[in-house]
Amino acid sequence: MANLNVKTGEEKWYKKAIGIFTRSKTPIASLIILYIAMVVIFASFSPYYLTIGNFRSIFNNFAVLGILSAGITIVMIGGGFDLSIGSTMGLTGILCAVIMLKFSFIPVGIVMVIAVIIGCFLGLINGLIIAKIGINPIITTLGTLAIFRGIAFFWADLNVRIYSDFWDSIGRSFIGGIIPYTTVYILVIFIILALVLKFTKFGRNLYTIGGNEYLAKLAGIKVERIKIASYVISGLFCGLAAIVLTSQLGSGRPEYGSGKELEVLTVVVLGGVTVGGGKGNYLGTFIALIIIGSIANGLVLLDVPVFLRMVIKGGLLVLAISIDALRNRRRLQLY
Amino acid sequence: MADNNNVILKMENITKTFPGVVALNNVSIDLKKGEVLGILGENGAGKSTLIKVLAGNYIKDSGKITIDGNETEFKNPGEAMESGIRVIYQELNTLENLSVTENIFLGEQETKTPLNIIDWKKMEKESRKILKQLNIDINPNTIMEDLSVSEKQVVEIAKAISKKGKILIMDEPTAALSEEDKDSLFEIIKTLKEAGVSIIYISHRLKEIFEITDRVTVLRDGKKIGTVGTSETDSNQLVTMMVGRDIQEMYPKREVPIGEVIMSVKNLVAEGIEDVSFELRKGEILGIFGLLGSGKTSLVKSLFGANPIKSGKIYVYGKKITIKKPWQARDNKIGLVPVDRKLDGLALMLGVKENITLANIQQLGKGFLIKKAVEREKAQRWIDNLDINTPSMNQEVNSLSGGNQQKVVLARWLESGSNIIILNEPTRGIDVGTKVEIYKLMQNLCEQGAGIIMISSELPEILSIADRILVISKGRITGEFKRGKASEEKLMQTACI
Amino acid sequence: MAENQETPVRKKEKKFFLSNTITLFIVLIVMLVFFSLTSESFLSTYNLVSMLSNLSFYGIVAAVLTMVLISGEIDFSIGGNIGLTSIIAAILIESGVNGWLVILLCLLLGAAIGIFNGFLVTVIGVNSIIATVGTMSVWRGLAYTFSDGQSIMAMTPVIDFLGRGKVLNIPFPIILFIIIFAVCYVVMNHSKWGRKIYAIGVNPMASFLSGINVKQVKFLTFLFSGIAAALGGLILASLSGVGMPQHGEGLELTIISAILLGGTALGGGRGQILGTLVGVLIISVLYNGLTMLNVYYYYVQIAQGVVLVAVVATYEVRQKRLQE
Repeated sequence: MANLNVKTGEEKWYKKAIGIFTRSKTPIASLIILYIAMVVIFASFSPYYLTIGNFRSIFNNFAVLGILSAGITIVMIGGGFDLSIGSTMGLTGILCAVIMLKFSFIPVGIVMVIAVIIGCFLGLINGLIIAKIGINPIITTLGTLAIFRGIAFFWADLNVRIYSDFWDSIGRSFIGGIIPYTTVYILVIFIILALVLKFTKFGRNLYTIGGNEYLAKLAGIKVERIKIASYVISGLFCGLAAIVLTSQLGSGRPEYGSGKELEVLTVVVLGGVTVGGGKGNYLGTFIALIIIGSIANGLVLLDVPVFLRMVIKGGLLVLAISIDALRNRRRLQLY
Repeated sequence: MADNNNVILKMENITKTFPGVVALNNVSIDLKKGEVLGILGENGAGKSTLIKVLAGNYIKDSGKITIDGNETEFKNPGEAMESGIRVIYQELNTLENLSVTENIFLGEQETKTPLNIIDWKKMEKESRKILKQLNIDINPNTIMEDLSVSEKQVVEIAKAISKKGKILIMDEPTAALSEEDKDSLFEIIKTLKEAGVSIIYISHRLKEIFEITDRVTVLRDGKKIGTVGTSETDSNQLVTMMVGRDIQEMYPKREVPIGEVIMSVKNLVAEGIEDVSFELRKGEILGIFGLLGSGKTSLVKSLFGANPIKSGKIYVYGKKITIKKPWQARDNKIGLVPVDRKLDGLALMLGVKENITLANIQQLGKGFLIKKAVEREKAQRWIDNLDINTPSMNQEVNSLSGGNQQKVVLARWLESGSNIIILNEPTRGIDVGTKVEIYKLMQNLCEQGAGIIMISSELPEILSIADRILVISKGRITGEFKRGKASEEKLMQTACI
Repeated sequence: MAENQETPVRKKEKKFFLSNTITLFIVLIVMLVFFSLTSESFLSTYNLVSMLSNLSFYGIVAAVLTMVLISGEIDFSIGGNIGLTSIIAAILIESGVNGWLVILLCLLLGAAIGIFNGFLVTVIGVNSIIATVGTMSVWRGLAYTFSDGQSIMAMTPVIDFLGRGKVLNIPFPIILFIIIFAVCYVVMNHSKWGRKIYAIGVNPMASFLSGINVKQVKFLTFLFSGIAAALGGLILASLSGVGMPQHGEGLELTIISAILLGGTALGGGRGQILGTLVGVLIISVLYNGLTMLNVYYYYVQIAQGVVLVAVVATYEVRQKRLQE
């Protein structure tokens, strides 16, 4: 047989370097490199960047984003999609504020429970439409995005102040003046969900459904039920996020959370959750969360104009999804 | 049958229709405890439909299924699994980015109390045990995508036997297996049998049927032809039952004079292809045989610009050509009839007409617009020439039978004037009558000066229809046989090198 | 010998689109009757003409976006594109650039935006939903950045004519709207390129293996959708007399709703330009009628969301029933 013309030989170092970003199966390594690079850049531009106070505010500021990302990670691993998270959070928040204003005799603890129930209920609506009727999740949640937002304005078209010290403390207090409460919530939520994904049938079956729904049905998995549950969970975290958000801002407003889906998608996609499902984990989402939170913070420190931040946020999402696409290129269709 | 108490499963008068075809027509089978029942039939005879009905994957139109004397009605695969039915499907059903362990326990993870937490340790241990039983050295923590096709097939088998089922269905389990893997599979089947598990074994390889089964049920065109004891029959009887006619009639072969070389491939290297060289002559049907994962599909894909070529040369009519994309192949008069016509061949929601002209939209009139009259005329010509059975040329191809769909794909390449036609499993899922038509069509094309590359895993077909057979294994050509010089055994042996 | 069991079934399939369009027409007529009964001014010439002029700018975008959807992709960035072009047009006019040149430059900008989206989707291979949700925010952010969040006057004769001019007493945008719909109709129903778009939407792999350059076709649909959105932005700037960074905000929901209402399937392969026309009319009448009835804006938004989900749900249920 003739000699093979296959090129063998050492890969060039720069190809290897690019390979870290484009070829590895998980994005964790590339994310960590990205983060270190970012810290160096920001620190060299702003002396304030590497202070405890700054990190405190980074972590406190991405709390809402983190809780929402936690929920949508579940939905997206299962192959779903949820564009309505921002308005679910907005609606839940305004309802809580209105309840506290008009029925101030209801204990705050109960209001929190109500918030979670409302979130779950809104998620259930999405889940039922998507799993039972079989409508594409993008269309469904695009529709409910408008509906929930409209209903939020029905309840109140203005700022509704919240007068409750306890409520205020939920999202604004610090342990020992350093560690934000919200960071504790985030850690607890991420750890619990990571364990759920790894150690429950629900979690494992979610990966199967996202990877190949037909196969999941063949394996006797109750696909509909799990899908609905995933949207309910996403709704639940929208409810929790609403509590933290209204606490941090001291009020409910119907437009709270609009455009949030963009940031959430950026975090989740950057963290390695694939659109279409079957891939992703909470470590990736968590690191991506820190990165996006740090960027938001860095942009403020560097005094980047508000409007330009919008451009950068969109650009980041495009970048994240491009890296994801390049990483999965080998399995991409040829056409 | 002698002892009715022994019958674990009865399927009576099962009928199942799909748009355009009656896939199962009043089929009845019964299965005894601890026996291996072979189900034999050509492609498209209804074997796969039958087991999909049994596994709750399809819902039957009519008929009765009784398990252990209780009538059952499965609405989904989960219910069938609860009744102890396990299936090894023909297509690989594994999740590529999960581990072997996880695939083995898909949907039925082991849990431990309290809290019903998944018991990874136990699952891993079980996996090791099963894989060892299957005589294969795979680390259960490996990610599926790092396995070869035959290893994936073994995982698939491990998945089915991991939980004790009462009835185990195997649909062509050896399609990707080497001889040794097959032997260890058969050992396992024997062990399971002794343990009282009943097995339905589906195959179109006669040799395996004789080796492992106790009784055989033969299906043809959706009907049951009969059931015979394996020891009381011979291959001639089974073939006659299966094909329903003389083998000569089944595989008509006209001698076509073989002319000059029209295509030659030199040292082709691509993903899945190590180093392949061959020539195709005018008027020749070149058969390519290989197991699943041998590289046969990668080979045709690279010849058609759908699998990037790393090195090597392709000559057509003595001229060196570059094929990077399918349109270059098309412009060099190469046509491809893919293995999965629904997935890769047809735009199912479009009409017959649109599908026939799909590769030649640019030729439908001069400028920017389609001349509808030209298109109609072209489509009608092929519908007449190939005798495509359709109520109208605007009929959605989705509703045609498999054979007619195949003709539509073929018509597309004839319309574009291809004279090198690659057919990947040309008769898969096609009824016997249309099969014969397709063979005749292929020979007509050869007479008109075309050359055909036919990939087939159907041994009698490739042995009788191809003028020359190349055997491919692990991306290399491991054997070449002239027509009449090969046999089933020889092909299988060379394919396992 | 032929034991072929040929049972040609499903003649219903052809009627499917027909009956959908008829249903939509009936819905449209019922809505027209309802609004003319409940609101006196609804049927006035002034209202109808202004409604049509208003719908024309997003109708144009909807017609072209229908092609993107039929090819199996989606473009969410149209709204941001409209905002950005309206601002750029206004800035150019402010600095005294000739009106014709403004139009040309803005259309080129739209083309560049389309090329960028097309590049992401076809060359890099990014999922078009996420890619265009990202670029949507980029274009919008640029619009805000360039205008510093302010509205900018955009008045110059050529541009004025684009949105407010009349030919034979018919408002010019309506004429543009009709022309572009007609072109899209011919392209999708009678041209080679339109056939390729359908084929790709139905089965990209089969189309690719039949020698159709899938990437090229998709790339061009994005290019045209970018240009169409830029044209929409110009008309909107002209209609309102200002370039505004908020122009076209939330419009992607309206436009995509109209397209899906018209029977186009997300995921590709199914859809008709005429369906989109009816969809656009229904959405505009709904919008206009509710506004005439002084219904609060956010109820209109709820109505729109409900209509979208309900219509797609009925399509889905019917489709399922057709497949038994």
